[in-house]
Amino acid sequence: MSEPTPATVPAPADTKLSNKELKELKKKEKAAKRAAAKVGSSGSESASTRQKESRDSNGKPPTATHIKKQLNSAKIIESDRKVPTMFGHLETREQRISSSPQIASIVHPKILALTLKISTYKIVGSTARCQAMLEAFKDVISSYQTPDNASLQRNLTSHLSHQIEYLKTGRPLSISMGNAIRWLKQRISIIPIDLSDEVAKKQVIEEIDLYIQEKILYSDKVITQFASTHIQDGSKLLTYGHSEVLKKLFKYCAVEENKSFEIYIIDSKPLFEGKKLARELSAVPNIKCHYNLINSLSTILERSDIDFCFLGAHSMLSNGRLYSRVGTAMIAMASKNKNIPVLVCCESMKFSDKVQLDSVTLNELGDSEDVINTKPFVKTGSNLNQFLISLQSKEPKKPQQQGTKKDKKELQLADNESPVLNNWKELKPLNILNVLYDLTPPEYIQKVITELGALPPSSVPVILREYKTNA
Amino acid sequence: MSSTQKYEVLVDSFISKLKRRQITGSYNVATATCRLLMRVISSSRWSSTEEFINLIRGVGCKLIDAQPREFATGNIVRRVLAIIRDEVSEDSVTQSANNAPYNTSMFQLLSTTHTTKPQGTQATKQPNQDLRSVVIQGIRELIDEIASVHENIELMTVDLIHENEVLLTPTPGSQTVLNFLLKASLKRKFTVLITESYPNDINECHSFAKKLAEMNIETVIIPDSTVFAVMSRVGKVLIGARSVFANGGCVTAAGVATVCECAKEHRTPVFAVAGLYKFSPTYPFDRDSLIEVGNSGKVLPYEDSDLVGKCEVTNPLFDYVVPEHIDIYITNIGGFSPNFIYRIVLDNYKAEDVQLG
Amino acid sequence: MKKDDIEEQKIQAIVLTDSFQTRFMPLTAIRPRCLLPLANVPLIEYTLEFLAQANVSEVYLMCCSHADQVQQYIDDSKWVHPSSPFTKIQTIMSLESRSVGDAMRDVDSRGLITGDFVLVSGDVVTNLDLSKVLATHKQRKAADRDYIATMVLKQASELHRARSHIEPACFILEKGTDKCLYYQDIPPVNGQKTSVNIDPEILQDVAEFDIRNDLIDCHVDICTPQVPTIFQENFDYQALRSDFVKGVLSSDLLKKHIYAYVTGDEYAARVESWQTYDGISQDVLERWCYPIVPERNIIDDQTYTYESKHIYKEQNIRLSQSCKIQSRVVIGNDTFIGDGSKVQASVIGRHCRIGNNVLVENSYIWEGAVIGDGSVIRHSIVAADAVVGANSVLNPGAVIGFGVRIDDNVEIPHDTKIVKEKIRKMDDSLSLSEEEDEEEESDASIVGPNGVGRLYREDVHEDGQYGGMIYQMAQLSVSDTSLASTTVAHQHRRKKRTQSTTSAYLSEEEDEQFDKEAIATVERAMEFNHDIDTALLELNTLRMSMNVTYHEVRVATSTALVKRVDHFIETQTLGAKEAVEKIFRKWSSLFDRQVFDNEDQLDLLIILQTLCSQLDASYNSVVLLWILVVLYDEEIIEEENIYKWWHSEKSKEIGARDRVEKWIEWLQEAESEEE
Repeated sequence: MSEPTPATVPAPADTKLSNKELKELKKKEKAAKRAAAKVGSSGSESASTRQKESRDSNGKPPTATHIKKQLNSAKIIESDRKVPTMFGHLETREQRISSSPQIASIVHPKILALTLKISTYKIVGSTARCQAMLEAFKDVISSYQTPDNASLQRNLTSHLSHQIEYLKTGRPLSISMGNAIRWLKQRISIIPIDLSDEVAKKQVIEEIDLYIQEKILYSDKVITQFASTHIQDGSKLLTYGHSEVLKKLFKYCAVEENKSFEIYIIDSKPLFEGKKLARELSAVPNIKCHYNLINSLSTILERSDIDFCFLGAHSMLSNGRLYSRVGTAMIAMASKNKNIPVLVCCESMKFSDKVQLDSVTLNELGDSEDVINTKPFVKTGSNLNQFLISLQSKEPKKPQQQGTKKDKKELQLADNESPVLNNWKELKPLNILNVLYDLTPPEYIQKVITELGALPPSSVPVILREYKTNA
Repeated sequence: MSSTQKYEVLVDSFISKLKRRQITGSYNVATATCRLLMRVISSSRWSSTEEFINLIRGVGCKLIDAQPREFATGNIVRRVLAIIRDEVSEDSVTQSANNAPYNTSMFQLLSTTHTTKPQGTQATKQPNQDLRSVVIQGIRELIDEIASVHENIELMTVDLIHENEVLLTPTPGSQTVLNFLLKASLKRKFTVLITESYPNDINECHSFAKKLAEMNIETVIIPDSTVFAVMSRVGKVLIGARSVFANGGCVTAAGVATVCECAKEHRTPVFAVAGLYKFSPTYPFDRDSLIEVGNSGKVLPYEDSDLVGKCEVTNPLFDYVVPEHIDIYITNIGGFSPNFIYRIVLDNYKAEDVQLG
Repeated sequence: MKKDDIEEQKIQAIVLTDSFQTRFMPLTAIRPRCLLPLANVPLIEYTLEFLAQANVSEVYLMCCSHADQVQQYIDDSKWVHPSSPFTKIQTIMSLESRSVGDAMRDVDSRGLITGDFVLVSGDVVTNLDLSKVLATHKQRKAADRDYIATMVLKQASELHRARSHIEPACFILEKGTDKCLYYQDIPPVNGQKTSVNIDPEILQDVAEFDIRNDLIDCHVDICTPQVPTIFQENFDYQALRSDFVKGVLSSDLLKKHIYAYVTGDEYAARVESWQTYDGISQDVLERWCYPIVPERNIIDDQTYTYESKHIYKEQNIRLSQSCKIQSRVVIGNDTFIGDGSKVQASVIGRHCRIGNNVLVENSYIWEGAVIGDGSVIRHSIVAADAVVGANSVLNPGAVIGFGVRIDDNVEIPHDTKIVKEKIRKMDDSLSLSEEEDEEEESDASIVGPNGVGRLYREDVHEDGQYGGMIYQMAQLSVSDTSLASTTVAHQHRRKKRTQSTTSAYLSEEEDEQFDKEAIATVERAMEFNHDIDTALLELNTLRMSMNVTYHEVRVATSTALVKRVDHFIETQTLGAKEAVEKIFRKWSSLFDRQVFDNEDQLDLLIILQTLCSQLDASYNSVVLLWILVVLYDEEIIEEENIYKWWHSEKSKEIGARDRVEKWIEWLQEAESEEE
């Protein structure tokens, strides 16, 4: 899952390490060692992804140590870090990238492409990311060749681990991705030894297909069926951002069930995912779309009699909290206070056995630049960014060519209100916080609708147990 | 006659400026209104205080109609009316004891103009000129008061912020909040979280953050959506009010109501800063009449023809915060609990002027 | 001009109140476009408000068609009050102008312009911050000696609802500087593929450039005083963009530069067709143009207040308990809406009466209109004081003209325009293609037995402009004829006015002088066998410089031609028929640019008749006959008008008719045979 694995945890300059951080680092190292010691033993189900991954990477000693070396050498220059102290424990994108192993040579092109898409937010949403990842894995597996003197069961998992390692440099893995990876590795590990490579690969790919079908597509269908009973003709619904399953739900109700209703889409900076939903839904004749930003939330709730608030999820944690796109908690709270039932639609593959109490401890940091942007932005990949920066630094060498025109351009720019904070990095006390998720307490949530049924948030651990035994 | 016309021209051009939003911001509007009233008073003619008061009321009505969501105009007009009435009642007390009781609001309501008018003309014909200059002097003082609002509020900083505190402010557009924090930074070290207030105040937010950071205050800009996530770490929420109503509720930038709600959920104290001129004697009955709705283009770029016209977009500029979500108001005359505001209002305005129209 | 204040900031503005187009026919036959209400506020107010916001000090309104109405309106408005932000607001009667070019030449000849000025058309709706544009203007002016103008363009997208679908324009801008390199009109949006032809030379020295087909051209230009001068020098420039901008940019001689100012955040658009009328109305209601919103109460006596869901109500409106005002609705004072009626995305004016169970959707109902019970109105316009009976249906695109009465239970088909009275031929813009069959369109078939009104037939090429609201746009070629649109009110007045108010400075001498010069010009042209265009140009220049009406031009031209014919006959070089054939076949096309509508045709006939009657009696009527035949053949004079002329009293007085009579009879016979 998205938690930083020991491999990617930054090693901040030693002098500045707080006790706590030091401890954490030690702990993680220990965990890695322990995992390394366990090499060979077939994966126990309770083992966390993290352990598994490190074990897998240790399955191939030379590479693993190599990577580790690289990681240790990847020291972050502390002054570049512009993260509020409170969130100092989270990893920035720069750190992720600089700590990423230079293993691009063994990374499958599909994964390269996917990583880029994910890091530029071209693919967002845990379901979409998970599905895209599995699709990419299918390609990885089909082009995989077991090297001599290795068994597919072991080598394939380690091969995948490298891919995953690279994938993480884009963005940390989502819970759903973590769950899927865990499942996939488990499936691979129990492939009978006597199967030929081709057959085994075919079998794995089929299983992946099945997983997508079952855990995503069918689940969504079932959830849609369950949830559609809440949407009546003339209902007014509130939703936040963009969620794959909610989109399917709304479309299903409007098209298949021919209900006409109104949707208030709340959106927020910097990703404006809600626009995507608005675009899709405003094309549906039965739906009347409203698009608002999160600052008008109180006005919307006051003025329009919302019947239901539908929320998507990144994950449901085992203590009943909803881990989702930042802002969700606010929506849920405000709705709850206005006595609007809050319904969460969440596939069971997003359930996690983790517990967490507030949004600060575990989260994902986005790029601060995204927030500074006063306008909707187009995200460029980090490599492209680097390239552009290098271009810019080269540029001043040849300005004479267009002399006057350039001047004019600059003049104009200065005129058109240059952003106040374009040099914010130079202002030491100024920080910009861009976390991507927050945690919604279970009190705000009326019920969670999963493909296994609708239940109160307190029943999440029950599902987790059931689901595990079933799997 | 010509003088009457002159003041009408003044008022008319002021009104069109208000409508065109060439004067904006409570502070500017308040001082501009004061100046306008001074000129109106000095250029208009009247024969009785009654007429004088009605004239000012009439101007007040026009101003409020021009920009009903800018409460500062109405407040200032009411303050000026209060000044006039105070003068008149003093005069009438000294001149004839008979007039003394007529100033109580109940009596005013019941008495017919028929009886009061001759009294008025009799009593005030002589001191017209005096009254004029006294009132103008009163308005001057009012302008001074408005100008010194910040200083008085700033005096209280030390009482409210402790060392190493984390503050959150969702109203980076407020000059009062900025001054408050800058002043506080001289005595205390603290961290300020600022919400972006996207889309309407984003530029204000950036310059706000820049000013704070330049004063070496730990400053963090957070997107509006992140408020709930960080609220558990926040010590106090500091908001700037645009206008405060008699019930203790206030109108402020959009999004603040939700922030205050979050604070309430986390038991984080909320305090609001506002100059006295922002206190309005009215009660907020109708949300629609309080909240201005701004440019939809800021929510959704107009170029986006896929969505423009197909999606309904609203961009409220203000929010109404209920009194229960605010712990104290810090004003230039001290700090008050929201349920005490009605007293402050009574002190500064006359009951008969609450409804101008 | 008058004030010698040392204000450097004094900005002048020229407002073109006439659009020189006929897109809003038939409504513009009665009211000029700039006084049509958009969200219950006359369009001109938006423009003036914009100028007021921009601290413009002097405003000149160029009025052509319905000039009296515009003037009346301005005189009654708040803009002339002492509290007005303008130090000067003046209506200029430029009745002769038939295009933007003419108006600009008039501006120049009147010497109104003292410095840089803002040129806007009277139908702009914008919240643009002009000061920023002016600042860029100044910079550019300082930086580029050849700079003459900045056009304000609004970033949108190709098929945006507020972008003209009729004349989408394509701009090529130099990257970085926004210097406009090339401009081209592209055909209307109707699915046709089109191409932009770019001369590679234009782009020779340009590093990078953008080709933009996503801009709204709102016709707000900041111009230097050179602009009117250029118009004066190039008297063939008619339209602002397709002639002036294109001409200046492609001219090797002028070497002037025009820049663009592309605004992203602000709103700017122009009401120039039904489609944009709809789009901009909706934009105003949805507050894209904030702070230009209905509750700003631009007109002083308005009392709009805002309610959530973009509903704007004035005081004193009566809504029944069960009526549903959904969203995006403006309702004016003293309007009543009955039980069970539904209103959505519409504007309803003052003093309207909407009955029970009416559905009004995305429609514009102007002041004083009455809608009967149970009617359904979708995507339509109901002009002021029109009445729609009970249970009638207006299908999308219907335009119900001023004062029309639609009976009960009538269904008005798509894109139908109905007018109260037949717009007499001359009313009806200058479009020559106007079909003139005595369409005794039985009222009943369209508006029902008790209705008042008849179908308005418009030029073929203007069909379905309104369709843009929902349907595909039909093409509307912006031909010369439609550019030069004026209406009857104007035409009638022209002769009176030109001599009195407007061109008071036009003295008799000048008049005579013109005649002489013009006759000489035409004679010269015939003598040396110039091509028609050159002759026309010269005539036009003369007309401009002397400031005379087209009537004078026609007189002069006819005189010259008839003289020439007479000369041939007298010298017996040619027979009457041959002489006329020779001269008129070739040169009658001069009249193409001098005769625009029915009245002009009649005028021309009278002129010719008068001239002929002065010739030798032995052949004068023969000459007239052959002239008529030629003019008829060349389609300069329509049959209708020949009859009209023939039967007119004036013609009977003049004489020289005897030989013509036969031909007229023949014509009439031929026609009846045809039928």
